[in-house]
Amino acid sequence: MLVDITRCIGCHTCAVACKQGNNLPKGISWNRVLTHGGATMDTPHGVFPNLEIQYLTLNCQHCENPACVKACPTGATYRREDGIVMQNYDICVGCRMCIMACPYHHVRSFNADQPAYHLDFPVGDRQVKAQQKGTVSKCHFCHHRVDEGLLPHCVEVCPAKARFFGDIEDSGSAVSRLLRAQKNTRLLVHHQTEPSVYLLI
Amino acid sequence: MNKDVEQSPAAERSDAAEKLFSCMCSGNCQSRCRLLVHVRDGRAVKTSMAPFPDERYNRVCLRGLSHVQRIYDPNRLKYPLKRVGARGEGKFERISWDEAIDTIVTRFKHYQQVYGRQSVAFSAVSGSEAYLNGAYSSFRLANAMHATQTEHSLDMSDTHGLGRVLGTGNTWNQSNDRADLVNAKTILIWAANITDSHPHDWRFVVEAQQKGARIVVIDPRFTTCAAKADQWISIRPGSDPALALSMAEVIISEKLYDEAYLLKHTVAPFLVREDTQRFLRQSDLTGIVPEKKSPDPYMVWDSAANEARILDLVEKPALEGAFDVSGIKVTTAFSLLKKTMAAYTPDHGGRLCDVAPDTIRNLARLYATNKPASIYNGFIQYDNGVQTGHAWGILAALTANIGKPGASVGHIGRVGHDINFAKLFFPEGRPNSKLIPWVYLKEVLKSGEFRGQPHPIKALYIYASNLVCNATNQNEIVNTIFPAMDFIVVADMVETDTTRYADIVLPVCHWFEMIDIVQGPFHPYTAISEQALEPAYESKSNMDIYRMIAKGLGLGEHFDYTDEEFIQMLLDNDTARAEGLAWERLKEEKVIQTLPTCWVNWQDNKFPTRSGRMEFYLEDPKPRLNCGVAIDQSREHLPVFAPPIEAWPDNPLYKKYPLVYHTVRQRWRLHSQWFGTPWLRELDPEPFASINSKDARQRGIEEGDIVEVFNDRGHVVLKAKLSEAQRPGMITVPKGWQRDQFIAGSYQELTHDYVNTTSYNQCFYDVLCEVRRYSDAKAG
Repeated sequence: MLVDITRCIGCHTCAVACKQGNNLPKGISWNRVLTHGGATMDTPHGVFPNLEIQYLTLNCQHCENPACVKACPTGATYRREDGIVMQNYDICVGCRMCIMACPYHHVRSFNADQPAYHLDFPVGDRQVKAQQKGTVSKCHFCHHRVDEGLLPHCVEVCPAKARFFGDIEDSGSAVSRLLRAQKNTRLLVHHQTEPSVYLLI
Repeated sequence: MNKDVEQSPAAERSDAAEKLFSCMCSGNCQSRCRLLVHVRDGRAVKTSMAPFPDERYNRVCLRGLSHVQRIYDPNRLKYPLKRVGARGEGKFERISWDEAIDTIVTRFKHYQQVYGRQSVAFSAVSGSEAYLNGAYSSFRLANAMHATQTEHSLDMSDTHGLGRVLGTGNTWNQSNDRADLVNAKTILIWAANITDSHPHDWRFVVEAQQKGARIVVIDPRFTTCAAKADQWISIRPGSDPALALSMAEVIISEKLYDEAYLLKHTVAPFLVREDTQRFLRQSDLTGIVPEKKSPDPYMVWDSAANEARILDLVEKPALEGAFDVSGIKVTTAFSLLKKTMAAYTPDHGGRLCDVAPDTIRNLARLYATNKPASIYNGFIQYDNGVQTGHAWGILAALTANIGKPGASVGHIGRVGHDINFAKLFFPEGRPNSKLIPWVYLKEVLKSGEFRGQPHPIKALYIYASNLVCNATNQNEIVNTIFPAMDFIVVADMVETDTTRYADIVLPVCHWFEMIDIVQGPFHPYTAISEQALEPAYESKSNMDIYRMIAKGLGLGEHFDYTDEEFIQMLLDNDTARAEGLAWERLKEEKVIQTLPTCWVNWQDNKFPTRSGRMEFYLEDPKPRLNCGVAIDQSREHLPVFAPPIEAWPDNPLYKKYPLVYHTVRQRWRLHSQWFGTPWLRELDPEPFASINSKDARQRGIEEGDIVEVFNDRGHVVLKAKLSEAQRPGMITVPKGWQRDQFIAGSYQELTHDYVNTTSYNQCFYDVLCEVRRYSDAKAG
């Protein structure tokens, strides 16, 4: 996945698309929009009128060398052949070692209680598995959509066209082309987890 | 990754377990996104972005993706209610539809018999812009009843100012298609926070920027689009016309204008009579007034012949000069413009706007020379909006930044050209309903007259609108306007600040529970909005409600049509037929393209003004609506800087209330819609008053303090958020929150309802206030 933060306007459409599509419980967000600026959301850094603000969306970075997978004692966290890091609620024991091991803050969520919802029936994609009390959940790149040839929700809906999804090993893919053309970075690479989410800057 | 899924196809299809419907998000952001509504077991479980034929127009936002929670909103009105407590107390009792309709019909009949047919008024704003069941749905009934309708008085001041120059009147059909922004080399984003209010246009701005266009944002506040722009100019709130006029001064004094364009497509060479201020015409010289429909040619000055001649006969008329034509003293419109603009030097404009004079010079040069240039403007929310719009028209006329790809000015609104509104709205073939601007209603109630005729109003039927929350001067609405009404009906989907004041509350369907037809303007398509769901609880569509009322009033013959038959009335016109815009086809294909993509307005440089040219000089300036109130025309031929009516440092009130008060639109709500949507409230749980740290420090206010923002009209109590994005000397409170979402008061208590008799427009930002810690306020 590739996010062009020069285009991102912090609108949160990706966050809400994720919330709806994956039927996330109350209070849980797999994809958050952070303000890179002042102390609170939508406030800039600096003193008027010399100001700066940027937005940074943060979801599971789907590392090639994922610390969470190594930390998971049951195999609930695992990496698919295509690179998507998955979470199997059925065998997750809720030890939260994955959360401890992950260098990125709050990309994984723990359901301490029975997941609660605003509506009394499941919404979103029908393939979505119900979340369980005492387990960890996180972004899975909408694998059920990817398997059907669809884009992850957050990528499909982005009004600023700041999100891209594709095969980095295919040199002709849009993500590869963009990475060649524009300055880019990844988050916290010194942890050597080899994140699969690239940021155009 | 072993799959390359960069192109997302619209691969989701209906099957036995999940039915998909093509619906339209019809709110007043006007983006008109096409959505797929996914229905399982009769319930909406998801909305997703549905494609348009051209990918560039595919769009959805966080609100469009939260409809499921709006449909099943806990605040949803479930059945008709009648008031049992005092108005505003919020005590209601469930009643049947029969009782609700009987009550309404009996009351309406009584008022119309005793006080005249105009005594019942319908009031809508923009709760849905779908053509049949939205904010126009009462027009047929109101005209059949010869009832009164209120006009919204919103977003119309600069619209009127620019509209008089372009000849577009009360419409927003001014600019090019937004997708055309990619062709601009300069884009001035002026008083518009695109990234919050029209996020789907942002990609076009970015694309232009990536191709080398220069993006300048003019806004007192540091908005997200200001952060992304190449330049941000923070002007003093309400000084917009001064900036535009000063730019015009630079363009004229530095001769950066396009003389050929001015001579050919504007009134620049027309001769203005010193005595009447009108254009000199042939009849002024011949004394023979032509027959009504015959032309009376405009006269221009032929320098070669040294005489005034008919416009069409002069190859190159004089642009400048004052002349004597058979004893009539005249001056070219351009010379008058030049003289008027001369006062607005960058030094003077800079003082008014609180920006450096060179900033204005460079901005003017950029707009005039780095062409094509577009002005993407928002709505001016000050009393001087008319002058701002007028000045924008002058800038476009001077530089010929209009009628070409990438060159555009004003709002977008090219819709309805293929819709036969008259057939639906006027069942007797003519308009029978008097239109009173909302801001003028109080005056009508006070005097009992409209346009010199008795005009008592006793009943108000409010729908597609949360007036108490969204209209200015809330306390005047609930303490003056509502008590003047014997009977108030409010039809809505959810409980709001307004339903609390109703005598009868009617539950209305969500958009996806009824059928409709929707058009752009932010895309070139006409689309069906299918009925995806059965009406929830006992809710009914607006048209179904009007069918019942009409039957009770003996007007049933006008409503003996199905929704589909009504929609077919709208499509019964030659333009629609030529476009292939037919209902059966729309039902089959869901979307029909009815405008070109990337369309450019005014390409032929023919403007719907009297002269057919851009009339930057107005010989006969008129108010936006006829309320029988004369205006001082001498002040409106050309724009001059008038300070905002309240929010300006020269106002003595400024000493008591030194902060300009902005109630801003944010992405979390659309006006007041989505105010209670749980997913959005998780992200944006409560309102904040945003204050610059300098202003906060002076008042001992810290982050998160509970503060009272107040003026003589009212107050609102909420948490403070310190943000350098706010220009010192101003405070912003987000709009759309309901009263019970604040700690006390409402953001709309502070705004005023001053009536500008040219624009008849609510000016939300033209407001002064002060702020203090709530603990200090309570301590007295």
